Amino acid sequence: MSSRPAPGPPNFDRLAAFPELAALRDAVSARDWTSVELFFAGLPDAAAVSYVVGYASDLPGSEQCYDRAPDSSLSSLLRAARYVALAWEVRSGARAEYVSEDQFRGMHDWLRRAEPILIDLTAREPDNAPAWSVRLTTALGLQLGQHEARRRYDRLARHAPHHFQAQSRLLQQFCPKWGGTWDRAFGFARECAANAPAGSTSPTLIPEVHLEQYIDLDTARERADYLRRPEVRAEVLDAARRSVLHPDFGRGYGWVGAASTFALVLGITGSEEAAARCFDMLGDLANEHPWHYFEDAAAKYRKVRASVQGRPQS
Amino acid sequence: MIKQTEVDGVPTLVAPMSGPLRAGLVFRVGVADEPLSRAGITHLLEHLALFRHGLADHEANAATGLITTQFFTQGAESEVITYLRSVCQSLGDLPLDRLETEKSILRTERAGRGDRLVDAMGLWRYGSRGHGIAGYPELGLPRLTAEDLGSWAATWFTRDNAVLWIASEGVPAGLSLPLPQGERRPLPPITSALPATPAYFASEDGQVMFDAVVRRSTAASLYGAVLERELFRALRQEDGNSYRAGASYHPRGDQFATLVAVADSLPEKQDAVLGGFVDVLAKLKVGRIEQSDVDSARDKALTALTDPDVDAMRLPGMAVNLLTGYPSQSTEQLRAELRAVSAQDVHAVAVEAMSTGLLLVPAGHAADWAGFVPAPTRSDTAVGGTVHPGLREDGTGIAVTAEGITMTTPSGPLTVLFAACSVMLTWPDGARRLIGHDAITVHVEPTLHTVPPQELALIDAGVDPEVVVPMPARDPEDIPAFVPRAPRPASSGTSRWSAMTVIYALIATASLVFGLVLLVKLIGQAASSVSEWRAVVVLWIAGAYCAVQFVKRYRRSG
Repeated sequence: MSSRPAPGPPNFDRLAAFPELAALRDAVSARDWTSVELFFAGLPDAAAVSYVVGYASDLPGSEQCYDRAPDSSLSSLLRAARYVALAWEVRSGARAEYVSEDQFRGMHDWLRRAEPILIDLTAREPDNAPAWSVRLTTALGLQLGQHEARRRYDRLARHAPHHFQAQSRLLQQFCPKWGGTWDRAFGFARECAANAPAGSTSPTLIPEVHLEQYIDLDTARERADYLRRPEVRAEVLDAARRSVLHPDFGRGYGWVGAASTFALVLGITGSEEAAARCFDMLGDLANEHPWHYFEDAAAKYRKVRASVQGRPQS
Repeated sequence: MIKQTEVDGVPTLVAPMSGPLRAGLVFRVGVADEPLSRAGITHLLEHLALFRHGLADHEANAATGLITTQFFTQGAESEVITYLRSVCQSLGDLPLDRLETEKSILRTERAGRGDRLVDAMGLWRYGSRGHGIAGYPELGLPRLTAEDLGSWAATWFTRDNAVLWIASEGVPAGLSLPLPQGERRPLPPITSALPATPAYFASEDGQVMFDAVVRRSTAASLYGAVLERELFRALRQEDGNSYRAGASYHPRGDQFATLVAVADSLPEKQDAVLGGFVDVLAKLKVGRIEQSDVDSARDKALTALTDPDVDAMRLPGMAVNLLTGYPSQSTEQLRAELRAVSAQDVHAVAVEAMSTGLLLVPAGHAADWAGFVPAPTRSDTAVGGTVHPGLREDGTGIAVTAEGITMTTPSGPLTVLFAACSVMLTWPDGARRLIGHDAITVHVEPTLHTVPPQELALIDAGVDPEVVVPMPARDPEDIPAFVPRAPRPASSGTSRWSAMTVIYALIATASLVFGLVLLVKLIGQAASSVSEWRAVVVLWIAGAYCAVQFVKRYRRSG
């Protein structure tokens, strides 16, 4: 433990965690479609494709590349994913009551452009899990309904049963803020966690759903009480042992997100040692989610890290 | 082997069949030929034509369809001969004393049948004319007269507008069809109420339904069967959200056919049924046609053609073809066509179906996200003129000009131009309902909208009297009443002197004062009439009543 280097500020840049994405970014900005295709061709699985699609769709101006690319499954997927990202930019990340009618309209316009592309894509390729995963986001934004979202997830899960990005999106849909219930949200998180292979990212749904519940509580006192509940602490710790703290936990795309979520929720539920192991794993790396839930994400990161590592906040 | 011959000038198709003799007399007239203001006339005529025949021991029935009306029977030769002659004779000499009775039977029949969803689709697609008529109740019934029926029969129920089919070895000796001469009638024009497709609309029904117009072909009929298998597999077997999921193919009489697909839904799963339905349509549209589905649909159709009575079973359909001028294929040709249909052919139909599709979604849902445009529920334009706001202050208003009428609503105008009005229903209480060619409806309730008499006169002058249907008086409970908002509690008001309180005070004072003046005058007069004394009494009673009311209200508001 004494060999641990002095912690620096958290680095939320995805390129810090996955430097190879810089090549993709450059290819997109140069509208070098062949290189983009080659990059995707080298990805190992649907989860990796989904992560990289997420990155590529966040690149400002990237629609200029995807809109001009020759028609293919990949160009359709990236085009639609980019429209979805633009939809969310219009909406802003705020809760529904703070989003204006104009923003909703603008958001829906982008989503209505994305969805037909995805309908055709999943019709052609029912096993295209990354496309189904984006369709979970369009279902969320277009408010197509709880059961439609579940249907989409079930279609995806036939081909990619432990697709964490899709699971995490459906979990959002199942939370009361998007029209679900806590029973359904917890039920789904536990179902995915229980069925996940050892060392997978899927058990991250457990700290996620507890975090959602915690944030939703009205008073500081209720929130503090929630974090002190032994069954919450035990469930999160158990999930960590089957995921980030399991020897089989790999370093595929998405590991930073899983480690970030566990670091935070283990930290605030009193599993300091386990949280410290997550922070150790991360070094200074951080994923935007879940830290963006806090007004000053970097400060929250450092505060939790310092508290679990027993060091004063640097 | 199907033979064609003639009976009394009526083209007749004959094919052998085991069992009792069957025959059908088919006329090229149906609901789609009726103007909305006469809707129900063919059905009424069909009922009247059957009446004299009464209760038969053999099977005899009739059906009014969209473009044909068929009188069907099966039984012994003599029974068939009697039935067909009776029908033809009745058509020329209707039992008009039965008119009102049969009208009320039709109203009951309609009520029992309910509104069929598939008919509603026609209304949205075609509007209030032609193939859209079936979406409406039989609105013409109240105004149909003996003359209307007589001229309808003379126009449509003629030997030149009929085809007979007989499932038997030959034409029974002594069969006669005493029908007047006439002419073969063309198919009703195809109208449209959909500016763009694929389109969607929402209904409270809770099912998902899709209809499309495609070129008539063997491939299109197989597409219907393939679509049915896909829907059943996806929505029922895989998702488990539907119990009933199916599709069917219906030739329209011309070069096109209507495909109808429907899936029901558990109430809480409507969103997923809609999503799954959209995905099934998309799967076929992008060309992922399962060869095994095509093969089994084909096998099923081919098997049906191996029935020894196949020629006879095809007779009713071929009779319709003959009436509409659509070429019929031999059974051998049909087999060859079925064998030749490829998955690519079915895919081409799927693309065509999607481009003309109309989707019905459960209330509270939309399909704009799936590339369907909303079918119009409001008009593009409003007539000019002064808008008279409704009494309910619900944001609606009525405007009338010489050209038409508009009801303004918060979600847009509803306009019916008099020149494009299919029907105007009028009630004795003054209500009017106008239905435009595009199926947009404007309903004026005098109790809810105050329209000046000179503007009401514009409506009555503008609408063609031919399309006006006077309706029977309504049950007073069915007339919407304007209920003003509950008065504010007086105690919370700023003054005890509400309008009514003031009015009662004034009337009371005036009555008492006038009564007193009159009394003084009468006393001073030498001669006075009884009526003058009566006036004093009446004035004082009225004054006393108003004074009591005033005191009551004044106290309550204190």
